Amino acid sequence: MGKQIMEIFETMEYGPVLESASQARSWLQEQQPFQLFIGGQWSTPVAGHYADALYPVTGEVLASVAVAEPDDVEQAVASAVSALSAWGSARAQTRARYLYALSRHIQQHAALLALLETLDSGRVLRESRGELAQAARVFSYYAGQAQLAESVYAGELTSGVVVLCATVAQPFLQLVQQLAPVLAAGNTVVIKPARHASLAVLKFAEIVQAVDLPAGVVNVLTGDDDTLTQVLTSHTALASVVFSGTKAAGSALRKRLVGSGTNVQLSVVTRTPFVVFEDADLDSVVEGVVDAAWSNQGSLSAAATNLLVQENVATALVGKLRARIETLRSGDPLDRTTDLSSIIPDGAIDALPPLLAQASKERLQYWQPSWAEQGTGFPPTIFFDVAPASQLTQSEIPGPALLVSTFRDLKEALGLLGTFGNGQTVSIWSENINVALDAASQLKVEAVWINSVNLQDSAVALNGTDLYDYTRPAWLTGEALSAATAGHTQNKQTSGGSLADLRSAVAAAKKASSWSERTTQARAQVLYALAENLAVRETDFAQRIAEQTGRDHADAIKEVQASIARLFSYAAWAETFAGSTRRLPEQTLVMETVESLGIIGVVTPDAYPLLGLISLIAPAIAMGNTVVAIPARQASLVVADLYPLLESAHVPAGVINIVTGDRDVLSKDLAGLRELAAFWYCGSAHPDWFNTAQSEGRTFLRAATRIKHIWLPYGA
Amino acid sequence: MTTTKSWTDAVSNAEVVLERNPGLPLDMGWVGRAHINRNAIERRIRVLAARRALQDEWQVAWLLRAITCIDLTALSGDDTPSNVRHLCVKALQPLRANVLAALGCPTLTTGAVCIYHNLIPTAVQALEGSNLPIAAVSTGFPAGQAPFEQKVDEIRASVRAGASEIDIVISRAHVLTGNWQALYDEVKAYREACGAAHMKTILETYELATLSNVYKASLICMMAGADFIKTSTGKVAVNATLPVGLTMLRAIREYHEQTGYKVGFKPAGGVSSAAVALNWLILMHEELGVEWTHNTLFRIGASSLLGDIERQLNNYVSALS
Repeated sequence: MGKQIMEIFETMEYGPVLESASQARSWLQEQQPFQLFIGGQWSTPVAGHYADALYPVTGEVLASVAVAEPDDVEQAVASAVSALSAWGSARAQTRARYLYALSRHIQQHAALLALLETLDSGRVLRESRGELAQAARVFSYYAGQAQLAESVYAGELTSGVVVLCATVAQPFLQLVQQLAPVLAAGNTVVIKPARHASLAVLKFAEIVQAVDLPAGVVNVLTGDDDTLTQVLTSHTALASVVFSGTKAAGSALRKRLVGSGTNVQLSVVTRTPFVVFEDADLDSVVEGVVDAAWSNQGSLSAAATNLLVQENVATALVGKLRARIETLRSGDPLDRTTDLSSIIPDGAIDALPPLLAQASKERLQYWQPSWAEQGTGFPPTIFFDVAPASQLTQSEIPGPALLVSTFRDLKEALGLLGTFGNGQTVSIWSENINVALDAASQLKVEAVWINSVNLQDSAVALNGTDLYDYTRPAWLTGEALSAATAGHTQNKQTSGGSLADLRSAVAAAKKASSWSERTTQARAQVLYALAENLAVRETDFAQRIAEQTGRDHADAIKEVQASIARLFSYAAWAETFAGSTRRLPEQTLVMETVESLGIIGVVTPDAYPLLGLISLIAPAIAMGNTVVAIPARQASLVVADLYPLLESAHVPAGVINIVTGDRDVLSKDLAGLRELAAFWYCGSAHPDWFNTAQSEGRTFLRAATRIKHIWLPYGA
Repeated sequence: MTTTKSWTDAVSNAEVVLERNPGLPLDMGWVGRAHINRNAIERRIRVLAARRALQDEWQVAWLLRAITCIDLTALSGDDTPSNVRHLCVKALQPLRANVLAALGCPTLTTGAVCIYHNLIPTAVQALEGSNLPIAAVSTGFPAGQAPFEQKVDEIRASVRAGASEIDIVISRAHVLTGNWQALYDEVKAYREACGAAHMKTILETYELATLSNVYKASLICMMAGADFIKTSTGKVAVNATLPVGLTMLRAIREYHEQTGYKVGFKPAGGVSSAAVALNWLILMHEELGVEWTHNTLFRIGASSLLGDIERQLNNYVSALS
């Protein structure tokens, strides 16, 4: 023994610091086999099938877990449906208390939950633990949101059955970030965890029971990823599906559910690219890359894959990065000194050889640390000098790979980011605040971390965790579906507008993009002017509406007056719906900016042709977007009357474009145009236009904007 | 003169004689390229604490290593020959013989003793027959607000009296006023006065306002020929902190990458527990590698740290029996 001490004294090596997992193992032994959690009860799967959950490090069987079949899905959804009315209409205080109880219990059981996550997935325990502490905070934050729902969201929230469905091992924290707002807004849920990340969710189900959450509000179905996802998301009773998986699977799902009335939220695997300028603290960049690119075995959605670095510091940065990776420790996920788990996530094991083959085909250099065992698994791998045209940039890499590319200036960096088609987050490094903010303001993403990466705070919404996002009607959530409607873009000659007309409308809308750069005051002025001009011609418009719809004059007057009021509202919102700044501990500012999306395609409903049109166009342009609208058939003459009004109100050319014709044909054509940033299709399903809580306000403003958070840690 | 080699001299391979950093002409272009982000550095320190840990034999071995790196320090107005003699005896025998035996460690000393100039003769006498270095603080320690010539003379006098290491303090005013040339010239003059004695330059980082200043001052002291760069005097409100240390270590790494010369590092002030000492060793290990965990390139300036390490090791040994 003594000799060993002196050996260590010489080599100064680290020893194992293993955490005990016995608490988790004995809990699993007591609880298994795990049943399905439906209607507040543990019920055996109809077909009686179970699968083994394995500890990937040793292959030991941890527990036997039920496999749900279509009949079980039916029961789970039915239980969520039957719990809906009571939970959806419960007092805000009631929901807040339940959510706070969940937070408290998660905190109490954080150690066990973290161990379960690590045993199940092979993820490093340090990461699981850090995130569990945050998971408790997320629930307590949304307990607060639930509490305030009656006053802050006054009647604007509508609830339904929401499916949370993951097909890639989703960290428990990410599930909580989706689940908490969903419950706070009064929805009931069916959770389908990924096959290799279900044990912690089963423990959570036990917590749901322990806090006496009303039966059916939360249901958990375990089972096969693909078949269960297919059956579950096809159910007709759903209001929303929140899907976590690969980008390809996500867009396939969205395509499948188009027009189904189910709102789809994607939390797809995208990576955070790094943009490193010449005046960055390169040593700190290296730590940021190591934290992000290799967390959660490189499979986390917050992992990095693209490192864009200004040409003149590329060599220095790569040298530092290589030296740093050499000191990383790969090993047992339960060891406190492990940086990288030795466990490679599903799908990553076979992913490396084709990447290396492609790299050598493209004559790309790559590098792996000397401690990597050749030919096994997926060690950290850096590919150098990757050009935008490289095939590597097109693939979704499931492991810890980093693609390094160089740029000369900000403009080129932004271009590269566009080409790599990365996700909704970017990490920017520069010690010059002008450079950093210039880059941050030009990026069209949800989060920009300046000189940092993956900073989170439960109170700063990220990736659609606003309560509105889970209560927004399906018709207001469609993004442009160029893929979905491909094949429908053929021009069918109609009596009115054609595809060519749509294209020129889109071109005009694009040309008018400087509308978003106008001051909010200038946009408000235009909306006020439009309202006033409409007021002057109130009776003319009422007459036209009465003629076209056959409704009586008084009813038509009511519609015009409501339209005027709506324009006034959005003029006010134009100057009011704005960002904020929040100061967090550890010297960090988070700036929330509200930005326009671009061109929004709008299809308006038949009922109340003027009010429907105004209700959709006004929030869009108030927030700086330009619009291509296809109005109701009955509205064509009303629209014709509207044109001179637009002109006299000084709406700039191209901000509002209206194409009349066969609405069904035009809609499909319009949805297929890739220039659109969003597409709102309001057909037979629409709100009560006279009910302002339903038909005006923040739900619409959120749909018309992108919220960008710019994280700015500081300190000299 | 007979020499009793210390444990580290006898056993460690790292005792290959290092080539001393000769310094460079002042390169302001290089200094100007320094970019330091404090928030990210503080984050790195938090992350590191969660990623590395030591227990059992590993912790014991690392604590023994920490002892060999201590500059056992007495820097008070009331120091007399008697307490400095006690200090020297402790430096030569930091652990009881039975503890050493139980740990299988043949012999062990601290890295050096660190005292004021006036007490050098006492230490020379007390350490006679050992080759334990005597480090003397100098140049108007701790404030450094003495006439320049007097400060240079103080170094010469200490070297003549038997100090083989000189811990100088820089003029913080040169940093705060951006007079980098003056800083360089000052430190270079001190290095010349040191001659064969090794020079540790104390930046007194608490008084340098920003981490960028800490990094730049570190680079310039190395260009001026520092053998070690040291955080603090131990006489101000905040002394050695890990973020400041990390900033200085990055400067050392950069200097090594650019010139091939290895400069040592000495945190001082506030390193009083075994746990904190291990954090520093881990930081050295992670940022610069194993070589920088040896006392040729790493020292800890401390007075009460040894007592805490001793307690930990005594506990470990008594648990064995």
